[in-house]
Amino acid sequence: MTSTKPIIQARGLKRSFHEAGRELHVLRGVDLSLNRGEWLSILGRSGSGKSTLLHLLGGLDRPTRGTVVFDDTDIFTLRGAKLDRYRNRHAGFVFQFYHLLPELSALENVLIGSMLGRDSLSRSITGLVTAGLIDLLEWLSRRKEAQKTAIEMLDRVGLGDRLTHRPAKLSGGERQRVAIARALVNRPSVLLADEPTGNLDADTASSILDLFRSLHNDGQTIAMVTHDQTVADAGDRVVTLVKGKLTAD
Amino acid sequence: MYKLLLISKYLRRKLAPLFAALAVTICTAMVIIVASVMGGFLDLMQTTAKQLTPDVVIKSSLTGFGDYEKLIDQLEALPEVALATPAIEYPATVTIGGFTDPVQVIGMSPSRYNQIVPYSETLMWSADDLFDEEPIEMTEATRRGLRKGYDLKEAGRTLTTPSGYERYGMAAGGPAAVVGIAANRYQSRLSDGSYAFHRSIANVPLTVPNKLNPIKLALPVFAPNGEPIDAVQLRIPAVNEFKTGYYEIDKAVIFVPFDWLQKSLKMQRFEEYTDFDELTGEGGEAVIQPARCTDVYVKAAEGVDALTLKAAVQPVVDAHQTDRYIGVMTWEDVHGTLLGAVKNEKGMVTFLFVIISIVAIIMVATTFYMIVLEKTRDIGVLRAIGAPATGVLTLFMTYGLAIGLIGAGLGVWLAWFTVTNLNNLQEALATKLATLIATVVLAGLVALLSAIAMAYINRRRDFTIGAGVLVFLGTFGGLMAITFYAFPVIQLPGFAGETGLDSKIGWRMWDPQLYFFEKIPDQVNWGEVFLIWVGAVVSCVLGAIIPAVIASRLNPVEALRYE
Ligand SMILES: Nc1ncnc2c1ncn2[C@@H]1O[C@H](COP(=O)(O)OP(=O)(O)O)[C@@H](O)[C@H]1O
Ligand SMILES: [Mg+2]
Repeated sequence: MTSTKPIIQARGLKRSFHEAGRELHVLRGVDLSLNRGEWLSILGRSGSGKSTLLHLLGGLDRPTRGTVVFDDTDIFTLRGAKLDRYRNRHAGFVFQFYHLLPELSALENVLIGSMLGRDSLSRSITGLVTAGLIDLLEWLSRRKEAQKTAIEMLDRVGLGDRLTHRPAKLSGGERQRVAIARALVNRPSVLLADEPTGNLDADTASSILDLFRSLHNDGQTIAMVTHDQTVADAGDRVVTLVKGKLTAD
Repeated sequence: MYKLLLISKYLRRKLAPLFAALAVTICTAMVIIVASVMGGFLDLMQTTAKQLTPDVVIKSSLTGFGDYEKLIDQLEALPEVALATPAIEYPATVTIGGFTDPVQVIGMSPSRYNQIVPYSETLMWSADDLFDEEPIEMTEATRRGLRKGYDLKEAGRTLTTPSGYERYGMAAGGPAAVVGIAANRYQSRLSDGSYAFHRSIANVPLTVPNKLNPIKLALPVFAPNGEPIDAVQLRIPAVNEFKTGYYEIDKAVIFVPFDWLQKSLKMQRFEEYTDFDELTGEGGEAVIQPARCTDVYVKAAEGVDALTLKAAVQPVVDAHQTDRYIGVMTWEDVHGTLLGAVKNEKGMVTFLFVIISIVAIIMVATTFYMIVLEKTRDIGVLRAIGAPATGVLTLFMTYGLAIGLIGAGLGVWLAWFTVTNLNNLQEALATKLATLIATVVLAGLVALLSAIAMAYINRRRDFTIGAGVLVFLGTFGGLMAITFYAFPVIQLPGFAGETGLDSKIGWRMWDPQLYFFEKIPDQVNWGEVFLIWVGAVVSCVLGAIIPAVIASRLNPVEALRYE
């Protein structure tokens, strides 16, 4: 399944934070290629900068220096709306603490990703109103299909019978499955998982990893960060983040 | 689209914004109710004040001014003037029965005055009243006899004495007075604000013994040069009562015929001799003193407003000025103090409520700020799955708009419901307290039961507190609405003959015995309502702006890390 053309390529990524007047260099020049269909594990101690790296790959944060190239473009040269689109279409985030929206049902939590799809770019009031109307019509025209996809995704993660449950009524493992379905609903180029099993007991964790494996077998590209060697070993390839740089195992 | 989904969920699952909406509802309703009642009050005062006040009044001092006939001819030649008539407005005391009170006597020619203001419409009693009220002690035959020769309306309209006063030395066809309904101390409002014929002056000559009629007037008399020379006591039968609803007028005005008053005050045309030898009476010359009046009433021609009329009249009056100043006033100038006071009050109270509403805006802003804080991580999630910053901004703005639409909409309904039912409500409080309490409790119970029933029916589905509150409020409001319309006829079994705060502690929100008007103004001005509604909705959006901007500026990574 693994092809040799990298889908995402990071070069010389540096990220530092100003904290209490001091410069904190978290990433000190990270180079990374993620190949299409690959499952990459990034191993690192807590506080080593794993989440920071993943946020950069997903276009959620901007580096102090360096590039992340996706589809031949550096995503940090994209203007706001295009970067939003990149996050929505090409990167699917899964977090350690699930981060589901508590007011929405499982199905709505998954659906919201596809609802976001074509959000208005207008800044003027009338522009917003017409764009809102266009959004509405456009959404109505593809609602059925989007709903079908969302249900498929929930089926895929094994929650076909929990569509109307709200997060509060789901177990930790189930919540993480909903989060995975949400991340996958727009069929992203890469699934970015930040310690997806970090908050789960061993059995549940291994079932989530099984799910990842099956997604991987279907061709999904995955970048997963973890502090746990055995979890990391589930991936095709493991790299370690030490002192702000990556070293291959 | 996700915005609408989220807002509909937030509205149903969050109690805090519902409270913000409630604050908006109450503020909107308060402002509308106050503006409506005060505005209605002002309107009523203006229409009632206007009733007996001419468009323009030309006024001098009590000494009056002469040659008014010439002035009137000049005035009536103006295209802006439809009609002008002389009048005498004079301070006096009136003695009715055992009571003596200060009043203003107005001498006017009824036929002309009636063309200037709808005077005869304010007359209270007609011959029919003779038959409507039982307390009159007389035989059917007497009544029928009276009815023929005793047309109260006509007597009042022409200010002439009908037959029936002969026994008091007042010949039929002689001058007569019409008394303001509140000037007669024997007359008083019934608790529902109406008046009884059997207490009226018009009834008095028909009953024996008579203490009240004819009424006695005492007035000072001035020479043409302004010197006080005399005081006169006059007796005149009062044949009817008038009521404008404007207490200040109804309490203090007595109408009498112009010619009669002019003569009584020695203001008619007369000759006098000056500079003669006081010992011999020789020499000297005859001086003619022209007839005088104190006021000239002017009616505007069709389509001419009072201010235009005043401007047109002013130069004519100025050419007529004597050494005593003659002023020109519009009807609004005449009642300026009182109307101005009510206008000020309306402005003040509305202003106060606007301030309260600003508090409501701040409350909306605070509520939204708290929601944004609470939702910080969700905002991070939304950004992570691709929502743009503008999307987050419009999400919270639309949320504010939704709160505003709901809150202000309910406020308009509440205000409309309250204002149109104010009279029912006060009637219920004053006279049917037990029924009112029973109805409220009953409606509350039914509403509670239906909320519980809805919760039970939907127990497997998604029934939230918000939905429960809505079902409760809807049912309760609906039931109360129905009962209020039906309230005047509702009589719960077991509550017959009940009383209310009126007889218990003498409380009435609007005491018709005390106030100018019998009814609380109960109309809403929809133009005003629309403006207030727009204001409330805009305020909510404004209240949401700062929190929304804060939300949209959140750094997504920090939002995700937010605990
Ligand atoms: N916004 C920030 N400001 C200051 N320091 C930060 C910020 N975000 C992360 N850090 C610091 O960067 C380091 C790496 O954080 P993170 O990427 O979350 O680590 P990991 O996910 O590997 O546990 C930590 O020491 C953390 O305190
Ligand atoms: Mg982390």
